[in-house]
Amino acid sequence: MKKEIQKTLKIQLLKKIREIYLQELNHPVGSVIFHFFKQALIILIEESITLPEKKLNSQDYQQIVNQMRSVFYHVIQPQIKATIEQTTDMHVVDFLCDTTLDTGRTGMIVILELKPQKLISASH
Amino acid sequence: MVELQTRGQLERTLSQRLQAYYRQQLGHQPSKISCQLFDSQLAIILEDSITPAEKLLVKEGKEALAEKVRFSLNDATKPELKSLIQEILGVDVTDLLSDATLDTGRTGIIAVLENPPQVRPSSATSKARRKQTSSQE
Repeated sequence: MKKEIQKTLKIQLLKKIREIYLQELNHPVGSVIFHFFKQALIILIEESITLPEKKLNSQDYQQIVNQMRSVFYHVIQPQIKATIEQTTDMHVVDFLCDTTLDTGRTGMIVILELKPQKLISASH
Repeated sequence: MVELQTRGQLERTLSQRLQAYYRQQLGHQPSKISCQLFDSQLAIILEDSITPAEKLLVKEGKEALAEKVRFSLNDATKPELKSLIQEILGVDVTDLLSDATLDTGRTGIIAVLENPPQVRPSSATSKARRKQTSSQE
């Protein structure tokens, strides 16, 4: 992926991630870090846990927080996927996501592949 | 004194040790492990990381149980993976995030390090630096 596209993608994703957390959870996230590695995009989101989740986690209700998190991943993933696919000529083939409740950090690994029509034109 | 490794050497050592870890602990070796260091973060991608037992659960229509098994395995292996990364990189791991997809068999791990590990500049990096310095002069 070209550097300029990477830069545009980072800006679009940062905006989208902040927007989703605010809209869905009314929660402002901390810093967001992006790294590109081969066909993968790494995203790290600091302060990604809401106050109710923190409260539940501190009272040993981790299981319910994990269930809440998996529902939230289902909400956030298609939106991040759509942002990537609209901004680049890449297709998302895998989306891996985890959060550590104690540190409040969320990590995502998005595996990308050239869209089929781009693969055909690249081979010619 | 222990000789410092280049970033590429550290990444290769990590891949080899992780292959051995999965083979010994889960009896299943991922087909490929890619590691990449970014200063204070390490990304690891494992291909074909799902064990035959989990595949059997999926085949028998027990996806929910297979998901639970994978979640628990990721959780159970975190402390040992953390120690292994700390031992190889010589820095503390402050956070370890891990997830897998049963359909693709892929596992992704992100380790957040307390400090960037000490590395020896590779010859390519040294040459590039020398070139940069000489062109600045």
